[in-house]
Amino acid sequence: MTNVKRILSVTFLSVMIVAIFGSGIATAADEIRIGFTPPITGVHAAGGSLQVKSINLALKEINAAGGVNGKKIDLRIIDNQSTNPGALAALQKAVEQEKVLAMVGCLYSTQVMATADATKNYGIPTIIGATNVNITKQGNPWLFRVRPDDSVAAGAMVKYIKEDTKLTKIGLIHDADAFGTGGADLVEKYAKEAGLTVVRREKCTTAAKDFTAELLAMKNAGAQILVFYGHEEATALLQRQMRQIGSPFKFLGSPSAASKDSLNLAKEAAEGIWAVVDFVPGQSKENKSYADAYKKEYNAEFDSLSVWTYDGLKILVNAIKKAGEDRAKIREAILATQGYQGAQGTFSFTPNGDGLSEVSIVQIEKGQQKLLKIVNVGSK
Amino acid sequence: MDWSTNLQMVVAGLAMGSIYALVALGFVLIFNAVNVVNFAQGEFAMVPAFVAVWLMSYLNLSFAMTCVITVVFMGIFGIVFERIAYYPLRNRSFLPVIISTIGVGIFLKNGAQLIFGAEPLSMPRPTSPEALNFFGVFVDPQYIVIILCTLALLGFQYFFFEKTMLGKKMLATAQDKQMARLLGIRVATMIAVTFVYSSILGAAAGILVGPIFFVTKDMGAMIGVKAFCSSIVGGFGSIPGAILGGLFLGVIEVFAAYYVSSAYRDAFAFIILILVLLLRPQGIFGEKIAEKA
Repeated sequence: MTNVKRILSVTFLSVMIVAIFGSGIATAADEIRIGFTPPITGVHAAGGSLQVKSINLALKEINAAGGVNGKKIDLRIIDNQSTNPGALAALQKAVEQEKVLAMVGCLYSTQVMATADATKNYGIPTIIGATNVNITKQGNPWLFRVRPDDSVAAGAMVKYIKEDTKLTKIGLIHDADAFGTGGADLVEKYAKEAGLTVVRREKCTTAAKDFTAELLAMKNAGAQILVFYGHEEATALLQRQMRQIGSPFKFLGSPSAASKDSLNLAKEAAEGIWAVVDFVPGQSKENKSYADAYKKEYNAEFDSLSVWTYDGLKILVNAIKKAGEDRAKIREAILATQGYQGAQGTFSFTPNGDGLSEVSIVQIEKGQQKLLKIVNVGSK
Repeated sequence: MDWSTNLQMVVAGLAMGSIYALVALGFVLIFNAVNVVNFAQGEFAMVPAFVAVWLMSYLNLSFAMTCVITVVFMGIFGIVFERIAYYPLRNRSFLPVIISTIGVGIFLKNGAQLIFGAEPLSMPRPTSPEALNFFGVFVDPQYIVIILCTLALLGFQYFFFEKTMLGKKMLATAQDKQMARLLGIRVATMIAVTFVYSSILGAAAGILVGPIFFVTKDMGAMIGVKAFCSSIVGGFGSIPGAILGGLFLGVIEVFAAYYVSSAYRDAFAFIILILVLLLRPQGIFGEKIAEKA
């Protein structure tokens, strides 16, 4: 009786073990697993669902084209719950349970920072969309950024003013929050390096309404161009009130100046202003085909803030194609990616892991963004 | 500094100050009538701004028609507000009434967000968007409209309180409810009329300020706090004090932003408030009487 039991249990265990390892071996043979940790629940859930749509588009195209050397990509999507602990738990689950080869990580800087140490310890190549400048400057070799970081916009503004407008006197108004102050600090620093003068710098609160005093101060300081680093409502108010004092200078705004919200508010006052944006929809062949594919698949316009997951997965898969299933070699292959044409622009990785160092300067014409120039600030 | 810059700032300051003055008047009238600060006063300017945007943008009504409907709407709104926020609590102390006005204010703000969404809306302008050029001084025509409308409203108010029976009854109620009741004045009705009038002042502020700034659920909070400061700086309870206090604050803000620091623009209103409370608690234009009754 005991013998029968023993034999049964041993047989059962063997079956279990074979089942577990066998399936593991089976998947490893014909699929490559990649993890993706977007926010499916929590405060960023709306944006998370758009990221999933965007990355699924890339996944579908990759697998339809035969995957990687005959192996399909198996994308494991794990919720980061819009929180830092959630992002860490999602990463651990992806690596330890799902056994993924590489990761597409998070959009928000705070979550990337929360998971940066774990990523380094695992030694797993991770594509990220966060734009905080410092993320790729902390000696973590496994993070690869596929969006322009926050310093690129500021650098491009100054470069455009110096090289294309030939103006030399900059007036600077910015929001007093971290985003506005950080951006304005960079503009001032780069302007100094480029030999331009910031003739006056003023900050405002996000809720500021009347900019008469700030605008007159700029005018009397002799500013030729006003750079504004702030949010939608204030940008629109500034543009209107600049007209009220007779538009004595040009206007170059941060990405919020070209956003739909801001253009709807400013209306005709926004005509002719310049703004810096990550990219202009339809500016390249790759962007157009992305937009068309997105429209065909989901019957909606794409979301600018989710395109990075599409570009990111494609860059990652291209690297795996070249390097094989070895994380260190994948890392080298990503860094070796130069001049790759993505939906957001042309990617050329720096040794730090920054993939995109170009943004676009646009002019507003009849309420639409018109591309003036793609400015590449080069590797830093 | 050259005179054109200063003149330009005076105009902008007076326009902003006029809005503060209108809302501050609403504060003072209600305070005088029922001895309670109405903390939803800022929302009295936010609600009509949303109503006006809705009428103009979605029903495509003309500006004049919009003004009439908005003013009538706010009149009714004033009565409803009085019935809900004040009347049931009229025999209690002032504290429950103040809390009830705060509650209604929160309700209005979130109601506006629920109905109109969180994005700011832009109100069509009745005046040209191009600035008028007076010998090098650029002035937004809407600023001039704001200042003129405020002057006209103040003129009307003077006439109303000094020359009409209804106005005199309202003043009598404000000064001494017991005495007014003995003289046969319907005190409850007068209080309701005060709320209506105060809401209509809010309607004027909301419609005037809407076209230059954007209409958001938070616009009332900013205007309300500044108007409250204005009425204290001018001397709480004093009608000319509220008006002059509002204009004074509006101009000071712009000049402080230009000559000192634009980051602390909003702080100047409160610095002046603290100075006035320390040095002259009855307000710059106030009488030295603590309680009128």
